[in-house]
Amino acid sequence: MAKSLFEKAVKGIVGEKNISSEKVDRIAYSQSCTFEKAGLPALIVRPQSSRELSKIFRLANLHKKPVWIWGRGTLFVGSGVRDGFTIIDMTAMNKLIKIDKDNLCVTCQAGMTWGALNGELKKHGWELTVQGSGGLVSATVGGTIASNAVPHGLTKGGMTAEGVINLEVVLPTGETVRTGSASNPAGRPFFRFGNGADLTGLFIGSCGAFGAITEATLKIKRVASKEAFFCFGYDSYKNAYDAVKKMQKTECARFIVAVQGDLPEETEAQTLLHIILDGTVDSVAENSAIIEEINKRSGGKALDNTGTRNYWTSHDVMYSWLRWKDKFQYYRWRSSSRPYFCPEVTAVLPFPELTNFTGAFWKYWNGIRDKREKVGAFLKGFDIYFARGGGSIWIDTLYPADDKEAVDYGFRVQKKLFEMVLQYGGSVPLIGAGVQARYTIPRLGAYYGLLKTLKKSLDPNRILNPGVLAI
Amino acid sequence: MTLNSIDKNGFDLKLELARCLRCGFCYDLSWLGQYSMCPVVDICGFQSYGAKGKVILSNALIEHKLDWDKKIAERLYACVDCGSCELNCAMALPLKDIFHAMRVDAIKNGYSLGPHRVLSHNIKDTGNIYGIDSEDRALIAPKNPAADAQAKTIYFMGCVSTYLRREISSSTMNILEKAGISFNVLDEEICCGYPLWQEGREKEAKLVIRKNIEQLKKKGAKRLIFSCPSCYRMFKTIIPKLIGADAPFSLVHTVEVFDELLSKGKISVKSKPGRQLKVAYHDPCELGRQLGIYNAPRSILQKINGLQLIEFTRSRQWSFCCGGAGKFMMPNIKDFNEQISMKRLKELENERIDLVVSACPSCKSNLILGSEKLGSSIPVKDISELLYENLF
Repeated sequence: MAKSLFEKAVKGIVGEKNISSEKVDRIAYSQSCTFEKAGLPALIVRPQSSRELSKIFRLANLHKKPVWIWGRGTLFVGSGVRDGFTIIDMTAMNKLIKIDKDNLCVTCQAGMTWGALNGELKKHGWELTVQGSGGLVSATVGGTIASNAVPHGLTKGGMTAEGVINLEVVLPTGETVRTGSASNPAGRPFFRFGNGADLTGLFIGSCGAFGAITEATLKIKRVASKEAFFCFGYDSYKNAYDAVKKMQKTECARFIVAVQGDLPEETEAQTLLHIILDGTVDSVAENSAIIEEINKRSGGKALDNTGTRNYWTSHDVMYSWLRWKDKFQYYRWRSSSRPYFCPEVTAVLPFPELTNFTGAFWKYWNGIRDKREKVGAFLKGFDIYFARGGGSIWIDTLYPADDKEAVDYGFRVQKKLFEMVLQYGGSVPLIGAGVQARYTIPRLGAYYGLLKTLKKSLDPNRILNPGVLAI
Repeated sequence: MTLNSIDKNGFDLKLELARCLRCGFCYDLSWLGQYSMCPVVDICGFQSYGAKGKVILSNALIEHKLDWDKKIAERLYACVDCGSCELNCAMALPLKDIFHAMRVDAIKNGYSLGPHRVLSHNIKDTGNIYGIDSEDRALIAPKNPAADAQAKTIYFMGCVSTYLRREISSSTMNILEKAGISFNVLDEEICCGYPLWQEGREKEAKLVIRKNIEQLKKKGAKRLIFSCPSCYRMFKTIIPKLIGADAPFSLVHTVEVFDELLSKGKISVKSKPGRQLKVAYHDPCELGRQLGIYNAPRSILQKINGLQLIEFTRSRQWSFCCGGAGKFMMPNIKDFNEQISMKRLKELENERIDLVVSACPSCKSNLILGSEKLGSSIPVKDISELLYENLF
């Protein structure tokens, strides 16, 4: 097949080794973690630097070629890759640039994975204040920031955004900008809110609509000298949530997770509350006493904390442990019989709406029992990562992937749940280019208008990640 | 078992492929730091080279979105069969079986890469991977210093220790002799068939397996000792799958034998007062991940006086391939095995190592290659050589 002028020009930038238009490669990038079908890209490019990326963007504008930034393709919320897109695989830009212990931050290229970054930091006794992607340690730093993923440790550390200090971003028109304190050519990345507007925040959660993140500076802290783990069983999610609200007020925990749905048979609890705390020996002792007291008074029954410990300390950070199952079993169990489609629903809700939403969810889910049993659907998990206030829900329902009726029904359930989220005042942190974007963003009035204005201004030819955020 | 089929054990390839989450855990060893898990992705970069990409390609073949061609075959054979992807797969997909089924299908469809064809012709014509005929074998292969025609124990040298790394087979036979073990070797030992199986030539692999078993039976073999972990794996786990029955011998690797001999006092090591030798042990993929042997080599090293065992950052089940298998498997990737070997050895750059030790003839060859490319003066030895040098 004759190579296009665009392809030849890109090849001139990145070299033969880092570009492919072979079908064998294009197919391999046509599917991410999401179930939604993507298109077949025309070209795969692996830039080695921001400079190369900048040149590619200028060419893409010249040739009006849409480009799609690809970290590890681990986002579950819908791929926007369409036929003919050029995929920019960022994984070659994966270097750790500097651990700045004086200014408590680390700078790395965007293609480094969260797991790798934390792994490198831990060699030196440090860790990220925000533990990266809530889903997969194999996700890239750039991709996770662009998605503003809900991280492990949300309760104390906050969202991915809250661990980000500065970014280096290549704009769709090819200019490279540094944000915050790093915007000063003589400065260094260490402080987010310098030199005017918080442009770091503009790019976080933007799903690559406004620019491609190429470097990130993130907050780090010393690995705590002491950790403790608790698991409490509750008969009612309301009592569990009440305990969480009390714990949030004391800031005693690093991370609190509520697990509902498919719980271990050994426990009769309706909700499991996993609590992780760290700090000095004294602070952990003090906070442990607070946690035990609050949960006891709220009706929580202390249970074996092995799963909680394994969840937090094992490298794989697998949800299996939260359900007292061995590593990986959460994924392998039930799903082992046939492939399932999981139309994930993620949203953040404040109190008391979180409690009300939970009640509404169970009412809805129990009300569709006949239909879901007919299509063979089941609830894999209903988890809540609690934030400083409120929490982030994850609802994973499964449908047989090889049954069209079941899949269509799964999409309908997903849409209904997103509608409920918006009705209860929630917002959706993970947007992407799929159903989340289509169901939520266009309903946001002036906010949606502003997103479109920004897109038009920064990416006049709509070459970068077209379709994300429904803009 | 081939593509789009269910084998007699109920293994449904299509179903397994559909279960892939595409999470990319198959690439990473990230919790240990900035390390890749898959050596091929590490060098080639594009997703089609990794397990996740290969699963997508396999699906595309099954769904007829792709037809076999040279490019697909190249991607498919870009695999050292190190097993690291399967170890960490979130869905526990039988990735090794999946990729093997694809290679069998590639052969059926006539897609064999040049160097693989040479290898299979060599085995067919001469019985070994190097194409050395049997007359020359008699001249080249190390001699058994204590041949016992009645011995029920056979030392199966393997191609690499017979022709290339003869110091390994020599040391092994000397150790066995010192321990007073009655053993013999096959005069006409032929390749175990592993390279044929690995390429997807199951029929040809079965032929050499049958020849070997026949020859071993004639010799009265009851127990086989291997220096090469690939030969060992072939007899232990692949032959039963291929011919539907266990190889009728007790099977053991040299590290297991040596460790037992040391523990029982059948051999003893010299005292080395004042010696402080820092030794890094490289876990061969075949011996470690594929066969689960991690402790025996470490136990041997700990029993040798004056040695301090140093672990690679990636060790035991997380060990990183040295690239040795790439020599045969990846003809389309320039200097693959050298590049991987250098990456492996660079893991030790912050340690003052005196010696790198492994327990696989191919690993030794490739680690030497990497060491030379790095301009390193650190020697690489097989554990059999090190042990023999330190015996009374």
